Amino acid sequence: MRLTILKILTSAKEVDFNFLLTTLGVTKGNLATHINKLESTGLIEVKKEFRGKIPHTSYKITRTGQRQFQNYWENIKNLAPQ
Amino acid sequence: MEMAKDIKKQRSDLERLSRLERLVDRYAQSRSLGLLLFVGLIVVATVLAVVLMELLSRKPTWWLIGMVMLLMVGMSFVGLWLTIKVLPKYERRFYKKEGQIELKQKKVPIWAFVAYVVAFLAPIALNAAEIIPTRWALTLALASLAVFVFYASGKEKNRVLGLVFCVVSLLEAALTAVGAPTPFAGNDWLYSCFVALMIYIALASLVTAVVVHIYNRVILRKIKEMRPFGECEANKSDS
Repeated sequence: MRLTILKILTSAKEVDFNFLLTTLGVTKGNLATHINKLESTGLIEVKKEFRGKIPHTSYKITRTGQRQFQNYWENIKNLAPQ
Repeated sequence: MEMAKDIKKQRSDLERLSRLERLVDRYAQSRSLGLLLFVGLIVVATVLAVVLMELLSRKPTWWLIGMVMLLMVGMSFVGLWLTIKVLPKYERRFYKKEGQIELKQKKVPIWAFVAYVVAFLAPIALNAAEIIPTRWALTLALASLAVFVFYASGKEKNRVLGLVFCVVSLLEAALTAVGAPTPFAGNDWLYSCFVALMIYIALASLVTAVVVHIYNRVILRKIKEMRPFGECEANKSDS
């Protein structure tokens, strides 16, 4: 699940909580826990703001996250060639 | 044996993630409902322009000419400001429930925008001066709009939308070029060229909004069919 979140974030500049909910189809609590874990390891950055009176949370991958995910992706690709 | 199984699983995971990335990209690039706001804006601007021009042609006093010119210039700037600044903000509301994704965009260079404005306005001006016929003015204006939208959509990551709009506009341009009857044909320039062009643009936007929205729903369904992704329990590792 966390790999999937990272894969979505690598191709986008910024993604919000609802978008991840729509695409991944998990519960809010479940998604929040996965995101907390990714944030605590410094792989993603969380931006919280208010749009009018409604809180809005969006996420983007950090440079470290981008680099680590790239390395991981390359390694997996080499391990499992087509 | 175990290792072969592992490699096979890794490979299928990799393929699934790559496919998901492609689908998410297409899904994000095919959000078209914002175009409906653009259609509304075109309709309002056209009605206002026609009313002002009609007013001008009936009682052409210097005071009225000045006022109408001022209003036209104001409308152009307000229209541009609404299209660039306000519409993107409000079109997000259509997808509030599904969430927002911002893709890595590149800016359309100024030279491309200037080239487009010249290519779009020149045939209309030439037609107003009765140098080229309305049919060719409409064809050239629609074709330049189609090419610019396609180019800009690639830069601004709206490729699906840009492609459909380009195809519909080029189709309209081709039909006009081969002599298909245009709305208000034979009336004065305001109707036969300006209003006809606005109708074509609004129609192309409307068709694009509907077609791309249907495509968007298909892609979303495909994404939903791919679930579940990896390990869904939050306290377990992915591998």
